[in-house]
Amino acid sequence: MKLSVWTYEGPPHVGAIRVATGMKRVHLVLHAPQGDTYADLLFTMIERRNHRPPVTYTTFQARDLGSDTATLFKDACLEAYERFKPDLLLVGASCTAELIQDDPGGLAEALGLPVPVVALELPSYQRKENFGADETFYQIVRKLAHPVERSAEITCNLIGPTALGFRHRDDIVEITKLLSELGVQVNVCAPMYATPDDIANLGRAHFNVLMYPETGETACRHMERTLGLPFTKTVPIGVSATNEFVDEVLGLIGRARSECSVDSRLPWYSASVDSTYLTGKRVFIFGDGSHVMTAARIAKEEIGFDVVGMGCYNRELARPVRAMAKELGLEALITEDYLEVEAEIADLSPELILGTQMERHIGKRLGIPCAVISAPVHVQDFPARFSPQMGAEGANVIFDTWVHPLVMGLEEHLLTMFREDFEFSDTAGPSHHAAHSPNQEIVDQPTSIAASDQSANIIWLSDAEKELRKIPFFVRGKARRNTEKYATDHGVAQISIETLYEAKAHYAR
Amino acid sequence: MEAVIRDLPNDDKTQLAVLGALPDVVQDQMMRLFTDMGIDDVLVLPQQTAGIPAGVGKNTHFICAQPFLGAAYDEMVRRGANAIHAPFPFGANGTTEWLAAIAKRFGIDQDKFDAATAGPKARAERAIAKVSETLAGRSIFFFPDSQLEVPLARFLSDECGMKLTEVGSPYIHRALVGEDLKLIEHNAVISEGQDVEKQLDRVTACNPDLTVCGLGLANPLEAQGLSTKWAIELVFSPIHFYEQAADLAGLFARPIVRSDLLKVGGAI
Repeated sequence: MKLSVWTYEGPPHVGAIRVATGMKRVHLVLHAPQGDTYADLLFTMIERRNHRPPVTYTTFQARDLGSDTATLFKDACLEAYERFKPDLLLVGASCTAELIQDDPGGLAEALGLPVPVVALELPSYQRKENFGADETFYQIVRKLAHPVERSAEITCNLIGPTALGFRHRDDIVEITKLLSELGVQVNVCAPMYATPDDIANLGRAHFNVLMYPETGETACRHMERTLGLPFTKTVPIGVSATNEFVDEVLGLIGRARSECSVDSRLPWYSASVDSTYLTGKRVFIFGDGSHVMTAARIAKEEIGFDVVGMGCYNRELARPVRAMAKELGLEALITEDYLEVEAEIADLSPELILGTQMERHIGKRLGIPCAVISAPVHVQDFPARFSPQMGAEGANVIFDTWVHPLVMGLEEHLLTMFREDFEFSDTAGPSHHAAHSPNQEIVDQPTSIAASDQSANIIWLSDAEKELRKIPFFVRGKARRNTEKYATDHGVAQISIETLYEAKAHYAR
Repeated sequence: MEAVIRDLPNDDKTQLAVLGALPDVVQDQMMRLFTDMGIDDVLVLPQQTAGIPAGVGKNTHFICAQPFLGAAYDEMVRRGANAIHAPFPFGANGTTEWLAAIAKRFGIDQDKFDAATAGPKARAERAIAKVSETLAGRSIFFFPDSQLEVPLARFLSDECGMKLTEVGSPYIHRALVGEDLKLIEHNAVISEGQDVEKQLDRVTACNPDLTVCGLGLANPLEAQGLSTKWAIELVFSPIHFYEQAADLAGLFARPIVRSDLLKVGGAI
């Protein structure tokens, strides 16, 4: 296991907590050392939950390890049952507890509690948070969901939303509304908001809507086999994807496909003349696979950006992300190491980053604007207002969110015209967001970091360096990078003004 | 500008005066071209820095870098300065013609002129050729807005292969844009002044691939399914001389590239 200061995903037991916290009348007993209780704050602070997650930690200490930790676990289970009276008990072990092999499942079964118990195998050293959520939900469904009579009216289940998910709360509302417009009612939404009784009734639905493949796909596949429930494959983020999702749903319920498009403002806003400046802006996209793939499509086909790099941190979706990157002529970056992501961003020097909380930090350091598109996110990405990612309103939110960090089109020209003015000076940075406005020294850093081994030997003559300074800061990084690449490719050791303009002409498009 | 020129003292030294504000980086490029051509005494109006002594007189030879300086032009003539006429310095040809007219007035020999311009001209042509792939054969319609219309139409038709339909300009000062006008009159409808309703009828009838217009018209025309280009952007952007030639072509290519890129219908 690689030690890292920050990680995109927690260990798998955090995924189990996300499922338990999203659900109702469920309790999770985690065999875990003192200290693992930190996980609570992810939910109570970042998501602003006003209740502690329904989790009991056995909190053994170092001195307990030689003695009877199994009894400690059994006592914790009994106390948790007595105190919380859940309809379903989940038991598992966190990273450290996994090593002491107390078999929480067997121990809990032996207690003979009057409610179902689901034992979770969470291989902390091989898998991560999304797997933990996906696996936990799958085990719950496997235990509780059995064939039942279909509802008379056409219904579906919403599968995948959990606690701490990126915009899950609002996506549920938006998709419920969209389905209702298609004449489809929601039978159960799970894990979020579902009780164990609801899980038992999943089979009443006619099909499943798989909202988040990361956390719901295994359960959907299981229900397809055992309950005969087909599931949707399109994640409805973006205008085109939402239209395709509508078609998919209509296909599943045997209705004619619709010709009309979802009612989003994105297409018109994107066609509006003030969006012309968005054309060909170089973007780098990183996050969970599903959000990255939908974002890449929106970036390219709905906003007109140039996707210059993309990747994901969850290896479960590495294959489709790689395939999509290849279609865009790119090689996907699949990594859990944010330092690798930072190096790639510095190297590509994009004009916008679409990423997670980690990329937001990277963007701040490098002076590149960033919009958040995927978990993990911070408290500010659980907004008070309604702000889904899915459906028509999701597309509206995405347009606003992605465009907001950028310098506006005409503003770019004002920046060129009034370079000496305080409001438009270089130090005002690439965005009107103070957070994205580091001073000049920092703005120019990425290009020097980005200099490859080859270009490290290239010298900028002082006239050329001065000329570069006259170019507005929001294109200067690109100009520097292109010029150095041109010089390297053409065996030019010293960059003169002539080289600068030869390179500019060379990269004209 | 007119007032600035009126207040300048008389100076009978032989000098070149260039009228029109340019971005710093562009003005510096221009000054390097003059230096390479062997012209050192150059007065740029408005002056970048206040307080540097300057004057104009009967040995001042002046040329405009912007076409919307009719009053300044007339004031220079009143002050006894001698106008140099040329197409505006947009694109590789426009810039070469503009510089050549100056070189001729100052008796610069051809070799020296070629040495100064051949390199940047060649790369400007190469760069324009790439961007022109999007523009060649497409039709363009100009609403009257910035007075840049005639010179820009010359550049787009002559150097980028665009088909001119109507070129409207709020005011056509022949002394300023006459050289450009000569090059496009035969293949475009030139209209001076504004009659927006009739112009809208004409743009709808001719359905051009690109329409250059003011901010007030752009979005309604986009909603009608036309690709538009904000005229104001052309006033704000660095578009003069060789090194910006491809950027200028790019400003017109971008809306066309964009409508090809977007896969979701924009009309409402």
